[in-house]
Amino acid sequence: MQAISFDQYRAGKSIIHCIDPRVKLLLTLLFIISNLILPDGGWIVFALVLACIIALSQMSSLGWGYVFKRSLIMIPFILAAVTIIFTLPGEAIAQFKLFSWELTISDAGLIRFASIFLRSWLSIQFAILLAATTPFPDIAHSLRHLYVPQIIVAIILFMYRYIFVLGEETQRLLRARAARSARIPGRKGGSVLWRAKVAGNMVGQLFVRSYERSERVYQAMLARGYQGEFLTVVPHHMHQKDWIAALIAVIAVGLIQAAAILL
Amino acid sequence: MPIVHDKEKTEIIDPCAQFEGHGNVLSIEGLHYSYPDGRKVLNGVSFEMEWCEKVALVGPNGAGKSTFLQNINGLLEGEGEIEVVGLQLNKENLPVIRARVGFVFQNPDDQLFSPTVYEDVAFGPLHMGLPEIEIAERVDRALGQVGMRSYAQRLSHYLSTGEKKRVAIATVLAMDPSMLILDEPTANLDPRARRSLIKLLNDLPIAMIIATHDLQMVEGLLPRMVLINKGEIAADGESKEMLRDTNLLQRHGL
Repeated sequence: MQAISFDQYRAGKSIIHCIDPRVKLLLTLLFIISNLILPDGGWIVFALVLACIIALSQMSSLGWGYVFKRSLIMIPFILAAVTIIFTLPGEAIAQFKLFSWELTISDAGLIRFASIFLRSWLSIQFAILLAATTPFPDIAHSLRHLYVPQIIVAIILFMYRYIFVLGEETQRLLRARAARSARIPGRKGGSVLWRAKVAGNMVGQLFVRSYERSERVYQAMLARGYQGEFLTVVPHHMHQKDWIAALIAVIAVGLIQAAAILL
Repeated sequence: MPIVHDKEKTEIIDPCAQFEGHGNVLSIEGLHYSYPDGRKVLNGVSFEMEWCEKVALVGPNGAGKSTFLQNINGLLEGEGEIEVVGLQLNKENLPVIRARVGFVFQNPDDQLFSPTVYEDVAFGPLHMGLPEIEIAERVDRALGQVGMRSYAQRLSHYLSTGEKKRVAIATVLAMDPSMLILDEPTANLDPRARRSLIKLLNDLPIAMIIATHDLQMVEGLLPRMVLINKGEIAADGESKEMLRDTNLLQRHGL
């Protein structure tokens, strides 16, 4: 079962793990929204948020190192914002030539970019912490409790359940190809075009298999009384600790926002 | 000292006694079925089965075994008269029939579509509209019956094939069926998982019809055997006798 690496959840018994998933989901969203509305260049506030996430990751027994490593995944995405450095009007700091373009780095642009970078980086860390301390089905169910439409939650849950199965199916296909990709010494393998065709056939094969599987799954659902409406059992209950955690987090976000306004 | 109940062993009351002499759990009269492309799969199959009877359905690949099974609870709609658990198979009765006929599919990955074991076993009772307390009781009982109680909160895709099979059976047991339909239950199982699955099926006091190529299981578990070939019932009789008739078996690709 090589597909295990898909799952972000790291089991544990820390305070963070034990908080009700609905509370965790809401607080994560709250922190992310709070991050997004922080002003440009509010370095002290950014540091404050960073302190928050470090404290939370330490409390979760994962340690901030784990969260930090995972957070690097967002770096390629932030490149989309890199043009801001050159396009925002402001005092020129440096100038250089790239191919035929004359690029000017402005101070306002640099500050804006650094702020966007930090905001995204901090936000993703909260999301990582949520995913690492909450089993995925719980996150999906919390969405249901927060009135996300049934069908969307059902799609997310099915995707989660079958991505492993599809991953294994793909691996089997690749293995079957590798096992028959023999070569006689002195002869070349097939042409690039031919290989592309084989790969294309495999993708098609995978689609047909998933389609057929979806029919079988649907039959299995019908056989057990599914009549078009998806129901779920409700395993979650709010405890005192959940309310306390929510209260502390809301106060923290309030302080962060107050600091952003005052500083 | 308090009395400690062994939770893994659920006391099963024998429900067969009440059906003694009450006719058939399943009777099929002249069932025809063809695929949408016109290819004929079943050519007038007639079949009867008593309450609590355990029947083997054997036949070569493509004989129509799976198609036959899927007609029993209306997953496929063929032509012919079908009466299941005392009810005429029609649109109106379909939900009740599906609640009382448990279908265990060949591939447990198709059957277990929920993220956790608990949710999957709860799916049937939940869609029967039962109250939450009873759902929890039924899930607990069904998982106990297949010896998987400690797996309730596990994620389905991390289970082994044998474990998945057991959970798949629990998903239908939770619906309290009068009849089980199993498609190749012992396929892909290692010998030990296979033995324990056969024992589990043997201990369940309900009617079951099992499509299989596992003739060894047929001999030990299923007293009656129905041989199906080219969409027709080729032979129907006592398993032990039919299994000795190598001529018959070979003629029908077994």
